[in-house]
Amino acid sequence: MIKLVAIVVVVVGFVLVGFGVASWYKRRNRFFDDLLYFCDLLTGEISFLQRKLLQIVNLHKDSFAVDFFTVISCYERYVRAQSKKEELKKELLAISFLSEEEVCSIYDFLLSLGNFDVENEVLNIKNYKNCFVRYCTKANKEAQKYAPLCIKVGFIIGCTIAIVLL
Amino acid sequence: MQNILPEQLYLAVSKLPYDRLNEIRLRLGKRVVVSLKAKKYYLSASGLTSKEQDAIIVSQDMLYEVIKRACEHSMYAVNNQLRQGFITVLGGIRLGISGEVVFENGNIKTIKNFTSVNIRLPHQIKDCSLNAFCYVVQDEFVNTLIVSPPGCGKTTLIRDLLYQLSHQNYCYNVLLVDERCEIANCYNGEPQLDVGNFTDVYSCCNKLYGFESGIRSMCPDIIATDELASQKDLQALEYVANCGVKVLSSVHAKDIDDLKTKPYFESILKNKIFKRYIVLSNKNGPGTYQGIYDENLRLIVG
Repeated sequence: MIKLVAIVVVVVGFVLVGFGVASWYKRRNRFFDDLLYFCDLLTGEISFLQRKLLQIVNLHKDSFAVDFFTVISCYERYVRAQSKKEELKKELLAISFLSEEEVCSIYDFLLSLGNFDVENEVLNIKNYKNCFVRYCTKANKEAQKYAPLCIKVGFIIGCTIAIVLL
Repeated sequence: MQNILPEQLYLAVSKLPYDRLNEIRLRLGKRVVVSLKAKKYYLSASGLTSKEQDAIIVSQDMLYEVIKRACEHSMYAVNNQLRQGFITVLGGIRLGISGEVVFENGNIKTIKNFTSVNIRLPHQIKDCSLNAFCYVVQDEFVNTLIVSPPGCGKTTLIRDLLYQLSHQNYCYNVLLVDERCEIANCYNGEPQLDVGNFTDVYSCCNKLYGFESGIRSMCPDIIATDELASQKDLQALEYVANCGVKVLSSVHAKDIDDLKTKPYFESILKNKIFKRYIVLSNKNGPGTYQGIYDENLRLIVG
């Protein structure tokens, strides 16, 4: 009976680990989707209404998932002069699914916002967006490929260990 | 103020009486100078000082920080204002900015390499126009031009006249064409100072567009605007006067004689477009009435 419970626990445990790893890929994918959406919002709001960054962030930040929401909230504090830019970098570095290169790009992008006239601002966003599209495509492919696989692998490893235990 | 000033400067400024503070002048590499009730002092970390060596020195970082905070990291959103040399921030505070002007195809593109920032704090002085009000509104509002050198209270007087029109229940629809956001001090389009309940505001738009478009879309009884300067401004003004809309405006001139010598003003004076001229000076502080004149430039009150 104990063995049976142990086997169930092991299988369920590994499946959960699989889900955890899958969600890592999904979060990463969602993060870049949000980032691209943010770029589109910026382009639209700046080129048409010339809204200020704080207004744009306040209007739309609720539509972002938790990871990007955290970053954008930190950026908002920086724009409000309530925190330093180093804290923004720290916040980005704390996101486990971003590589160093990605962190640097996003950090540079956020700091570059609001320094130009409308035309050049839009151009700047476009340039960064091109770079983010690459990250997003990669994240999307990885999520499609590895997320379901992780759950399956978790299940298989769980089962294997269960068989060994038997 | 906290939003636009770096910490060191804010701590020093917060020790000053806000209601008496008119200006904070930041000049690159020079000492911070503040103006309290039109008197100038140096600003040290502990407040006002007469010793130059104690005063805070303005660094380039400080200047850029102030400008960046003032435009809320959104240069594109204030570039139209910046091109004219100012930024308006929350609370109606105006930053006059000087630096190197960038031209493109003969038009000003922006200002770079900032060298000075003049932070002007607005103080709405309610009822300051009461002495002139009875000459401006008799049976009805008459076209009025306020004449004074810079810093003598023209804008404050226009603002209060607009406020009084509403406050005293003259239900005129007023269109305020606030080209440099000085009268209503609009921040994100919202007037930060009281210009009355019957006033519609066009901010940051040139006079000709404001007048033409405003007359068509807002049907005003009175159009108010600040600082007539160029020939285009005066042509726009004549257009308004010919549409049967009343005008309240201002011009930089020392006195009536100085006004007569101003270029392009000949036809305005000859056609007697303005029925009242209010001349202000700095003699007993900003807003001193020097005289009120009629359309024939005869002194009514002096």
